[in-house]
Parts: sequence; C-alpha cells; structure tokens
Amino acid sequence: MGELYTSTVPKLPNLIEISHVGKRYRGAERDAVEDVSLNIGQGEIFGLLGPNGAGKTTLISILLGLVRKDRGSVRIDGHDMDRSLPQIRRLCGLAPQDLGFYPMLSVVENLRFFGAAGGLSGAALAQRVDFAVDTAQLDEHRRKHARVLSGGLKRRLNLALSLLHAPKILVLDEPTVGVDPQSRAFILDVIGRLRREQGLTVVYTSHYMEEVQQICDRVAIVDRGRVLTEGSMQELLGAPAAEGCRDLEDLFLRLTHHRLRD
Amino acid sequence: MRVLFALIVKELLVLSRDRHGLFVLFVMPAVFILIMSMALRDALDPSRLGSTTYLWLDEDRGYFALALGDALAARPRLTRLEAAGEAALLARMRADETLFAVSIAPGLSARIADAANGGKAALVRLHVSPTAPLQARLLFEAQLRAALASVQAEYLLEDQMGVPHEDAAKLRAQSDPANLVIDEVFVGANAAAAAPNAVQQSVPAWLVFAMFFVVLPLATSVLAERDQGNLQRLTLLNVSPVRLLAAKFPAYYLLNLVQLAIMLAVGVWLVPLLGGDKLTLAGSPVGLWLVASALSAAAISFGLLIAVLARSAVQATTLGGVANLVLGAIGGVMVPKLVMPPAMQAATVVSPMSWALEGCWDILLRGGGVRDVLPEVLGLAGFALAMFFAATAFFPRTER
Repeated sequence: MGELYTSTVPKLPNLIEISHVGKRYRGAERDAVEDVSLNIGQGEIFGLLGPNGAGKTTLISILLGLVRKDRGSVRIDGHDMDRSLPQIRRLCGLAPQDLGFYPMLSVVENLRFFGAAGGLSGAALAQRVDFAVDTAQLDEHRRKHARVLSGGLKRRLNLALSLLHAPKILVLDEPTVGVDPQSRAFILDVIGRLRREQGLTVVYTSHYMEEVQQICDRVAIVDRGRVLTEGSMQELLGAPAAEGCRDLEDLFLRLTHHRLRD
Repeated sequence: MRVLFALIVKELLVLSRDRHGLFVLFVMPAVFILIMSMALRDALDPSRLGSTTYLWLDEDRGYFALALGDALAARPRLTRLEAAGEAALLARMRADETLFAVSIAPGLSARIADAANGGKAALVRLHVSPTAPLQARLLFEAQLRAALASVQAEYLLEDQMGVPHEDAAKLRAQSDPANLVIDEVFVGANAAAAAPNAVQQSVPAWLVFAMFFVVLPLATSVLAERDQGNLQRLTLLNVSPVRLLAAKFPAYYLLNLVQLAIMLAVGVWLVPLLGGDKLTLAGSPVGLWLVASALSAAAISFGLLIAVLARSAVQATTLGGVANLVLGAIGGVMVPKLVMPPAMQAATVVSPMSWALEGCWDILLRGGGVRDVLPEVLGLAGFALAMFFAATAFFPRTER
C-alpha cells in the first residue's frame, strides 16, 4: 500500500486482490515489484501510472501469470493464482504493448486464429470475430494484412484480439502508444463502452495523464516497484500530499520526482 | 570525408559490441577448419594415407588363386579380411564393413583356359559398395589388376625358366593384362545394384544437408512470434508449449517434402538436360519417404530447440547455421567418410546427418527397401523425440 496515501475501501466487490507481491528478476540488483498490495473492484477501470522501469509491466505480467512472482498472493474472481492459473488466464484478455499478432495474416485471419487457439469454434468463433471486428470498427479492413495497417489500426486490432474470448478482465498495456488523437479517442471510447455495457474490469497502464484522468475510476502511481499512492482522482488530488497540485501530472511528478529515469 | 569517417567508426563500434555475433564469427571458422582439417588429414597427405580393407574369398583354392591372394595382400595399403563364404561376404559388405571384396569362384583353371582361347569368362569377381567414391574404386581395381599382372608375370617367368606350371601355358596366351577379365558387381541391399554415377552418389548428401537447413526459418519464426508478443498472447490462452511447438511440424514437414521432390526432380530431369548423369530412383519409394520423414522430424525438432535456447533471431540464425555446418562436416556430408581418418570415421556416428545419409544411400545407391532403412529411421526418430522434449522442457512457460 502506498506510503503517502491510503485509499478508502472500494465500494465495488473486489475482482482482483493482490497482496504483498514481490518479484526480482534473475541477476537484477533490486526488486522489479516490491511488496505491492492492490484491490481492484468488479467493473472498475483501474489505472497504473509510473515512469519507465517503474514495474507496471511486471505487475500486470504477474497478474496474468506470465511472470512468476517471488512472494505474496494474487486472487482473481476467487481463484488463487498458485492453484488455478489456467482459470485465471481464461478470465483475462490482454492487449500487450508489443501488439501480439501475425503481420503476414489478415485482420480476420488473426482473429480466427487466436479465437481457435483459445478454444472457440464454429458459430461461436464467427460470432466473437464479428463482435471484435465491430467493436474495433475494423470491418472495412478485414482482408488487409496486419503488416500494412496504420499504427492506429494495429492498436485497434490489438484491442479486438483481447476481446475475443469475452474476458471479465481486460489488461491494456499502453494501448494508445503511437496513435493519432482520433484513434486514441476511439480506443478510450471503446474501453468506456465495454465497461458500461458489459461490466468489464479494466487494468490500464499509460504514460498519458490526461487519458488516465479521463477514463480511470481509480489510479495507482507506482515507482521503483512500489505503490506510492492509490485512490480515485478526487482522493488523490484531495490528499495532503497533493496540496498545490493542479492535476494528476503535477502529483505524478511530485511523487516520482523530476529526475530523468533509465 | 568526415561523414564517411563517422560512418566507418559507427560501423566498427556496432560490430565490436555485437559480442554474440563476433563470437560465432570467430569460433565458427575455427571449429569448421578444425573439423575439415581432421577429416581431410589423411586424404591430402600421401604419407598418412590409410589402409583400405577388403574381404577375400577363395573358393577355388588352386595355385593361381593362392598366388593372386598373396600378390594382392602384398600390395601397399591394403588389408585383407577373410570371408567364410559368398553369403557372409555379401552380408558383411551390406553391413558396411568394407567397400570392396574379391572372390574367386571354383573352376579358375577352366576359366583361364577359356581366356587363353579368347573367351571372356571373368577370372575374379570384384564386389564394390555403391557408396564407394569413384577414385577409391578405380584405385582398388588398379591394385587388383596389378596383382593379376604380377601373377601372370610370375607364370611367364617360370615358363621361361623351364619349370612351367600347367596353367602357365594357357596364361601365356594372355599377354595383355587388360584381357584378364574382372567381373565387377555392385552390392545392393538385396541383389546386385546398378553402377552408381556422380549424381547418384552426391544427391543423397546434398539432400540431407538441404533438408536440415529448415532449422533456420523455423527457429527465426519462433523467435519472431516471441518478439511480436504472439507467444505471450497464446500463453494467456492456455496453449501448452507442447501443442505450440508440435504445431510447427506439419508446415515444415511439407516444406521438407517439397524440397525433396525438387531435388530429386533436378537430378532426374534437369541434370541430364544439361549433359550430366541422370539420377535413378532405385529402391523403395516408401523407404525413401520414411527416411525423409524421419530426417525432417529430426531437423524440425533440432530447430525448435535452437529457437528455445536462442535469445534473438540473429543468434538463432548463426547458431543454427554453425550447427548445420558442423553436423554436416562431422556427418560425412561434405567429406566422404571413406577419406577420413579412423577416429573421424568413428565420430560420424554422432551426427544425425550421417544416419540420414546412410538411409538415403540404402535406397538410392543400394536399391534397398523399408527394412533396410529401419535402423536409420528409428535413430532419427529417437533424435527427433529427444530434441522435441528438450525444447518443451526449456520452453519458458513464465519469465523467471
């Protein structure tokens, strides 16, 4: 829990419970994630903010079981990660920073492949592919090879792929990096709509403060593997530690300091 | 000029900091030269030429046959092994114990008489393995002819000295050593094989070498999937490493079969069009398919292991390329096993390429069938399984 601010208890029932999680990579001098505890409620959009190397990606990788934690516990929808990793993974959709699709396959081929790899087939597969295409508005690009798509379309395909298996939790790692304002607005709109219409829980990492301020219900600012503060926007900006801060960016720079990072 | 200088300096810096690339670039030639030098040590140094072992079967037991046996055994760099009978001789040749055998059927005296009367009955039979390189075959045949000629000269001398042997008079009529007929047969898997040509002998080696190069595109494709984040997404979909890696087999197996078809087609149709020898597809097609399939499985599994162990596509390409060259050099693909020193010949057994080469020879040179290639097929399949299980064991399920 943050050393500067302790949040109020979330009103929504917890879907994700992270307790005292720690991780140090082999050969590293310090922990990538150090004693992190977070609760994320069902249907919540939760922002993870932090400078480069703060431990955001490691934390979400632990959450998805892609990186093995050294310490602590993770429970998602009542499942303990150490005992029920496959079940936990089935609940999650990921839009990774590296995109994660096959450039030589078309948009629809990518969707069909990942759908089938996740166990969908027949009408269910077709229905989910159509849903993903519609949601990301990729219909007119269905037959295009992924490699020829623009940066914004690639991000939309990345998002569409993460929705294929009707996840309860959507993990978005810097989903708007390198896209134009129109595409960014569209992606943020889709995320908001998915939460409203489907009750999706979203874990969102970004460097863009205004973006986080716009869509996240609660935010955690992390640095050097630790949660510095956590809470809703009002809680964060109303806290004594945020005195004099005009917005989230001010608070972020105050907590993480202006020093340049690796 | 300054710009050019800056570019040159940049290139030197970039190159000097690619430690893995430099390691491979420096180590690869060293390893390769070491292996090739060892393999060719005896072939290129007349003072170290090894001895050629041959099987000897004398079923005539006459004076001429005994004299010929002694004369051949006295030739330099030939080592004689005795064969118990025709069947044993053929079995030992098929087991690759020797590349050559000489047998003398009963009734040699009659055949010499026949030769004296202008007949063309063969005096001796030279058994040759179809895998024997042409130069080695010609050399051994010359040794045999020299032995025959020396016995003939001995007869003539005895005749001149007034102590003629009964066959000497007959043999005297044969003043031309070329008329001493040698019956040359190629020992096939089950029956006599056709005389091999250069294409027939070289295609199997290049076939094996080319098919193993599937390691490179396969390894780089796995690493591209990892770098693009696809493996991360598939892991999240609970796709197991075994399934993930096993799914690579059909596509690359098909690729290997197309390679095989193209290479055989070139040997059968294109090379003769350009004036070369034609490749004859002797032996069992099913046997060839089995060898190709097992070889393909071995190469694919090996490629998967390289992909799992490498940190980047560049590393996988260099590692895979070097491994292929070393396995090829050790396995007798680049240098025929025959010309290697005994220690290197023994070392060929560690390379799966040598097993595949042997299997291809069984079919394309010896005209063999499924049963003949089973040992090689099983060996390659075992190698494939071992590599595959190693690849799945080292596959990073989660980042540690």
